[in-house]
Amino acid sequence: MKKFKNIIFPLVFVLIILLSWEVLIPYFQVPDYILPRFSKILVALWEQKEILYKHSLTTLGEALLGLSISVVIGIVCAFSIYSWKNVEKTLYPMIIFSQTIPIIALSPIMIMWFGYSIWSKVAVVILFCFFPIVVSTLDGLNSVDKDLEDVLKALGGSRTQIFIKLHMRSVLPNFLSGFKIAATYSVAGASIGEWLGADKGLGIYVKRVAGMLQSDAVFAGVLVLSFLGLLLFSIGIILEKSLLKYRKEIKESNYEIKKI
Amino acid sequence: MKALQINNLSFKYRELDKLILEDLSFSIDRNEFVTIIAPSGTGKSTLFRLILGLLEPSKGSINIENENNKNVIGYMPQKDCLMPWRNILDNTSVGLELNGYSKRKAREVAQGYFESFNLQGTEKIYPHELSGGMRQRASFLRAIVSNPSLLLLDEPFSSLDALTRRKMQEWLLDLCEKEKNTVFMITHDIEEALLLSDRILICTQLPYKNLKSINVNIKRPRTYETTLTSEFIELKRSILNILDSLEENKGGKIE
Repeated sequence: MKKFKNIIFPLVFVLIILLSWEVLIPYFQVPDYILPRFSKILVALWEQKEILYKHSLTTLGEALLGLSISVVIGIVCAFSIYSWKNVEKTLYPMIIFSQTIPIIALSPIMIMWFGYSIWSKVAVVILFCFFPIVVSTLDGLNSVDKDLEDVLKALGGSRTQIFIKLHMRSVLPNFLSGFKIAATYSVAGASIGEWLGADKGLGIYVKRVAGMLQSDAVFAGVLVLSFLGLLLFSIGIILEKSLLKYRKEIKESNYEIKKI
Repeated sequence: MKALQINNLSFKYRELDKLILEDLSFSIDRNEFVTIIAPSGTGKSTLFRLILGLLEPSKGSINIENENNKNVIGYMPQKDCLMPWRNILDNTSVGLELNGYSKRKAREVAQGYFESFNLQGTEKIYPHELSGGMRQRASFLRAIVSNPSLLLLDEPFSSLDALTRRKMQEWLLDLCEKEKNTVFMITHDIEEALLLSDRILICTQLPYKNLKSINVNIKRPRTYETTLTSEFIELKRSILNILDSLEENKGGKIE
């Protein structure tokens, strides 16, 4: 019952929007190439399903590969910045600087460097994704409980032991927040990479059908893109659920114990 | 040998000009419960960090009785400092894990203490699900589980409400009377100090230089009733007098 209550309001809200979309477009006589009716988008989605599926695999692959490399680079950067003062002084300003450059403007350079292969798209994805991961992981490392660190040192823990048992654990919530942001960026990065030059992928698909003024197909492609973003985002949610189990709400039965 | 021997210890932070400790010497015997009372913000915690080896003394030496070279100090900070991602059993056994015990063996050893710490049933529970008093007990268990030759307690009950604090003091009193531990505790609760300690050190001069040592010759076993006896109140008054005169000397302000 409670679950039902939780979904009923968003569901009704979305239905109202979709219905008014469906009804208002013919009412105001909006031409199809500006905004097609929602049902037309669904039809396009169904008709193009095989092509869309093929293209989405390419985009998903680029996004996943770029995201994974970003995670590795991000973690390595954050840990070295945290561990060595000199690395912090050198690397951190450069990382910040790299984000002041509009990445979209950098993307053509990636094409020049990596050509039309998958790596130019992966490179754009990395440019988008590694920053949130570095920053969030670094924040997590900097907010490690210093008193707890002292306790573990007093208990005889070595630097490595403390790093593994304390830092790598307490950084997880921050890292996962960064990962979730990066996950949604990764799809955007991949499609931008594809716009600049590719023969496969949802980005190039959307660009192509837009050129032909098939706006229903454009929207279908966008819908699939956002679904991919959601898919990658949910990896973050799943990781959170399994790694941060301890955050689950206090169970009724444990209230009794609390009273002792 | 003394459990803790401090000789001519001086310390100042590199960033600050003034000395925190100056030529400080004192010692603690084995199985003695010693409390230090000093105004807050004067460097008691610095003294603890020095003893823990987290800071290097500028001058002087700190010697801790050392039987097996490792895990000689048990430390209980002001906050409970439990790891939120570990359940209570794994939190309390972490000290053993750090000293080379297998996870299973460490859990086994820690488990043995749960009953006397009144924590049975909390093994699989995460810290945020427990009350403040229980978390504090768990933190204490973590400090004591590797059988340290010196226990450092940094205002262990200051974050608890008055009622829970009283319960915890009684419980600690009971525990220390059963198992003789060498304890060095920071507090600014005079009653707590008198109730628990064999000896009280009072800082009479800043930076820390000479500590006034007062023996608490109230016979054991003590209970909370002890706080109502005339000799207890007499001692409390004399400590208050010392602290008052200290404040007067400095024009009512200790800096």
